[in-house]
Amino acid sequence: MLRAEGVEVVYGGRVVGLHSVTLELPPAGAVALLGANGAGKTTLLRALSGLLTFHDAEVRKGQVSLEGESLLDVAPEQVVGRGVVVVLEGRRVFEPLTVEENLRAAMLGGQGRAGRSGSMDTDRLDWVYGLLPPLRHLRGRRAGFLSGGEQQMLAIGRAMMTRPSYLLLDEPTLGLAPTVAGPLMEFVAGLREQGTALLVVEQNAGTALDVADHGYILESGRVVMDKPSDALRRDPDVMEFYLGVGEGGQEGSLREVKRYRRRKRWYS
Amino acid sequence: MAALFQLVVSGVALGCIYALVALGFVLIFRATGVLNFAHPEFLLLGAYLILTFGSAGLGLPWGLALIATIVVTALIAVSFNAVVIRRMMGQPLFAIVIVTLGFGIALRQIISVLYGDAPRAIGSPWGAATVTVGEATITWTNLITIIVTVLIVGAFLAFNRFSAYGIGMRAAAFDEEAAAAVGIPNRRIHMLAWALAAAIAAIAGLLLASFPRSAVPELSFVALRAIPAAVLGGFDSVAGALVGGMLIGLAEVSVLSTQSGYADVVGTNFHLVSAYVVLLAVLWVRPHGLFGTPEIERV
Repeated sequence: MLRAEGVEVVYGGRVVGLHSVTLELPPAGAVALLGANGAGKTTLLRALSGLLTFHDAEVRKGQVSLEGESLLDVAPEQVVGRGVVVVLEGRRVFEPLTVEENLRAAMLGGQGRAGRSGSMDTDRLDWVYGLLPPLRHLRGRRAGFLSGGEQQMLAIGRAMMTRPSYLLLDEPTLGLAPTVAGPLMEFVAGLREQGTALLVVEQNAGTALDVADHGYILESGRVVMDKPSDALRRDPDVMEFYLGVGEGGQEGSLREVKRYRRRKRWYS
Repeated sequence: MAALFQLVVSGVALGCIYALVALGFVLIFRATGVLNFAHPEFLLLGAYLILTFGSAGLGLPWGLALIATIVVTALIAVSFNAVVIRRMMGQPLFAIVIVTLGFGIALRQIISVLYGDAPRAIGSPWGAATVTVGEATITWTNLITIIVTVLIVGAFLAFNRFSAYGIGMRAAAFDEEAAAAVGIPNRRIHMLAWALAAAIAAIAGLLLASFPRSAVPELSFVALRAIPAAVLGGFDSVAGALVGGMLIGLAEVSVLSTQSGYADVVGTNFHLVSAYVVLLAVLWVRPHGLFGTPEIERV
């Protein structure tokens, strides 16, 4: 169980990014984290993965724990070593390196480190190529020259090289055409069958709820809703504001959309 | 013909030393974003520590003394990184660079107090021996410099391209947060960069202090001319450092051999600034250096 409990994150000593957020990702589970821009989704992922240090931020209250052990004050690469890995927003592949080098770079860390033995390394590469077959054909290409969808797949493959128990994905479909995003999310759903728990952060709520069995909605740094995916889908507010579906299952007309331009806030 | 051949060999040999020094600058810069102004003093450490460990001091056999010199230089660099630079990460880059400058000055003074300012022969085993190729006479120092550089550069390129840590180092140089996010140990990568750069600098220092030259504190100024070599190559490119070093070595030696004919125009020490003339000319045409990344914005 990867768990954030009452987490408050502060940027630069004064700006609060999260207020008392509690979230649970059970082993081999799948959770969606929804919310608008600036809601704190990325901040929560940074808190879970130890990357807050890169952004002059810290967890001021609350606890982040993995299987009951605190992850606070654990260096990011050691968090990865314990089985929690995040795929950062915007893909962030190592552009000057080839696809295979990107994957091999991730072999320095991770669970059950291969160490020096070459055969283990190849095993792990083969395993990832098996999970994401398109990467095998791209192995010699420079990562910077790949398309957005290919880069996202590489970013996921790179994270899988660390053999994570918990995979956190930050906006995996951001900027991708729907025809690319669809198959990509099928690969992501397939990772669950490997026993990897998924936390999917998305603005595209429909996509995330398809993969997840539980969803959290974050607004202005607070969890405002926390329900099983099915219940979220049926929630009229979620339908209106996150799934873009009007009452009665119809897509709202443009005139009605305009009326809803105001932001719905649950906690006020 | 023989004169030209001799000239090219000594130009290439000098270029090799510049290339090794520039490689060290580039390694640390790529890994940590810091331009290490203490790097020239790592060369001095190489040239002087061999006096302590070798026949002039503890009397270790040459091979052992060499290894001890390299290891101690690397240890000093790694400790400097661990004690000072790591703690300053996140501070303005300018402040960190100035601290390296200060560390370099301190090292130079300590060396000058411990060993004195007089030139000292480091007693390399090949001494003043030369080989004769046709009519040309070439010093063993130059030959060994070229051979050692080829070996070091070859080994480094293989490490950079194929080893897990080499790949990790390039990955971290491109995006440190993304590297940390997939478990690449950035601290260890930084340490490795400092150790490698200092070890290579120690070897370059030894070569630089070998016959006909000797160990003098001014050797660190020679090393400063490797900065144009690194800048010429683009500063974040390993290949650029090598090509830049070679270009500047050749330019310096050819100016040195021809300037006596133009002494009334350029004077007698023009070779010392030739590196900067080449640098100006190249940056005029290619502001990011020969192999540099245009996007780079640090420093």
